[in-house]
Amino acid sequence: MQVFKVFFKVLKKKYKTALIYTIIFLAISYGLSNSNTRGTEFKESTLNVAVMDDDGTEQSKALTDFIDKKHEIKSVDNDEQTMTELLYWENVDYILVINKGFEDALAQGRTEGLFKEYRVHDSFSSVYMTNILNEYVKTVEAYSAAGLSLGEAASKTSEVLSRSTDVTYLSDVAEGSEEYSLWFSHYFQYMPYILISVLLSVLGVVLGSLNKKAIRYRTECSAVSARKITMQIYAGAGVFVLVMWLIFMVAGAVMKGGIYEGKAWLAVLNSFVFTLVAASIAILVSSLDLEENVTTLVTQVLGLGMSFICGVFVPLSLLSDGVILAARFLPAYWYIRANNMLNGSETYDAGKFAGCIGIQLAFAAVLLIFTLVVKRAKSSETVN
Amino acid sequence: MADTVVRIDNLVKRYKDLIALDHLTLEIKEGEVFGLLGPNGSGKTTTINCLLSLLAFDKGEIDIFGKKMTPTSYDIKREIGIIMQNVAVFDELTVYDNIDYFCGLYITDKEERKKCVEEAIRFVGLEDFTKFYPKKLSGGLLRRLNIACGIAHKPKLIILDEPTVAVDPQSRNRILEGIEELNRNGATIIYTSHYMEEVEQICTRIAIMDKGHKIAEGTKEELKKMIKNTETINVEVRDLTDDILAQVSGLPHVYSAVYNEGRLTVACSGGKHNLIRVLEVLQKHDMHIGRVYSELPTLNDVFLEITGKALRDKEE
Repeated sequence: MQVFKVFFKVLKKKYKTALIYTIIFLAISYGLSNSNTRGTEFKESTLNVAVMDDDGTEQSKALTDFIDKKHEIKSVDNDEQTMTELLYWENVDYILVINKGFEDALAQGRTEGLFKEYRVHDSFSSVYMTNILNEYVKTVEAYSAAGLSLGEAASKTSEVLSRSTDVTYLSDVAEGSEEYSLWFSHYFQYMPYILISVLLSVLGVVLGSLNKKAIRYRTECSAVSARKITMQIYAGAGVFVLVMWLIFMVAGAVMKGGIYEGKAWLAVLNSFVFTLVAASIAILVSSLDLEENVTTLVTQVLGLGMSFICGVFVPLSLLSDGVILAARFLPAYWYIRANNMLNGSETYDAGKFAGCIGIQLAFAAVLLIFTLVVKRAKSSETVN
Repeated sequence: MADTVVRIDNLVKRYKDLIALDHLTLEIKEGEVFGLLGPNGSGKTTTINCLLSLLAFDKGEIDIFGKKMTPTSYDIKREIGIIMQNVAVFDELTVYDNIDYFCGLYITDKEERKKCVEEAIRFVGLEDFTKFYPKKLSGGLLRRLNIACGIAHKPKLIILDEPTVAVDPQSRNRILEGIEELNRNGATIIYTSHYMEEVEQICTRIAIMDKGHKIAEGTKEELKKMIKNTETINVEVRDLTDDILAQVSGLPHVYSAVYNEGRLTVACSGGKHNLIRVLEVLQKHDMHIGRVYSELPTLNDVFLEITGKALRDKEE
């Protein structure tokens, strides 16, 4: 077991990379878990609005009262510089000036030039308040056109637009995915990136070190058979891969506060199969006998590249047809497709899910065959 | 008569159209320091790789310790130590762990292994560096670690493949002394190099290789006797005339005399007092003589005379 032991001795010098990736991933996942909890509570947005009534009529007061019902009215000095500063420091979100002649204009059915406003251009608050004012004016206009007096129209408009609706989140689980919450979906969605990064940057480097040409030469001259050496190296790799995968699975269950149930187990299976794919990539990269910094570069390119193209970082629905076509030739795409079936983004079909798993396994097998070809080619290199 | 440790018989190795080893036959006796000398590409490393069964060959037979060598001859491999040109150690392991690991590939018993590792550390003089990582070692210390990893299991046959390439003269001397000591302790050594001075210094028998052929074999004295040149005389002399040069050329045992840029080079084959005779001719003509020196033939001269080219065109 000399080679098996040395695998872990070399790993001991490289484990920090895995630790950093794991901690960052779990911390982000934990953060997402908390933010999702807050996301189940609904609260209507309230703006800080300053109103300057230059008209001073019944109608302008009715509008001010309407705004006051749902938003916070702030008083400000009628000085342009002060108002700009208040907007800049976000003390107020919107400053509305009701122009003189507002009531007369409404009575005549004119909707132009009713207001002057100071706002942060294209901000959420500015668009939101502009919509509220447009809606108010158009509703008053509609009631007036229906025969109501201006006072009645304003009162009716205020009543209708002030109605609030109770909003309650029933569940954060997609239909048909009761055991597989959106949190689980997010947790498993980012797993291809973390698995490729950890396995390539650690396993790839450790295997690269053990398979270094000069080391391999000396080892193969020894009294231990090449088969035994290879078996011991890959037994060590297997233990490391399994432990890393188990850490992510256990951490997922701990953070979610319970054991996996129902469809969540399929996500566990999906992640295990992708772990095999990531390990196969690491084995292939290690067989290329690259320098450690080149392996790191390959890790970044493969990890980030595959994650962006295959829907890990950006949902598949936002990717162009061309990108998706290219992604089909990468294993992470099939992992994400399987994950989407579990979280309800795509209709679950047992056959299709099995297909996604099968394709990932085929990728792993092809990568291992390719590794054997590379090794054979390297072993037949001309020696002096 | 000493037992044969290595017997290579009619070995042929081809890389497609290139014949790397062409019917090579060698016999290495127990206790020898056997030198394989040849320029880069002559087939030295291919011979070693075939010897260790790391490379399949097309024809021939290899016996080590009287047994046929095959890729699965682990009982034979147990008695072989290999030290190659490239340092083969783990950057992630300490000096001690590196030696322990490679020794562990031969010796499984922990206690026995511990003793062997400690002896190897003492032998190469790395006692103060056992907890150091290879990256913290100087080039010379790293070479010593490389040697310790190859000899810790106390092999009976040690193969050193160009172990002094890119090594400073001080470390080179220490390595060569170490090899001689290993030999005194009973190990048979195969030493490949393209540095003729090293081979001359430590090898008891030498095979010179070129283009996959063994072109000569014997002790260094035997090899030097194979060639015409026995002495080369160099004299710094000004304004040497063609007449005087002709007189020098006509001296007994002189087979070549060349005058170029104020230097007279006289090549002799056999005979005694050649230098005195050359100087007498020059004195007779009142020539002003500068530096005078005589050189005995080197292995490079042997190689040059047999192949028509130098072992090394320039210092590598």
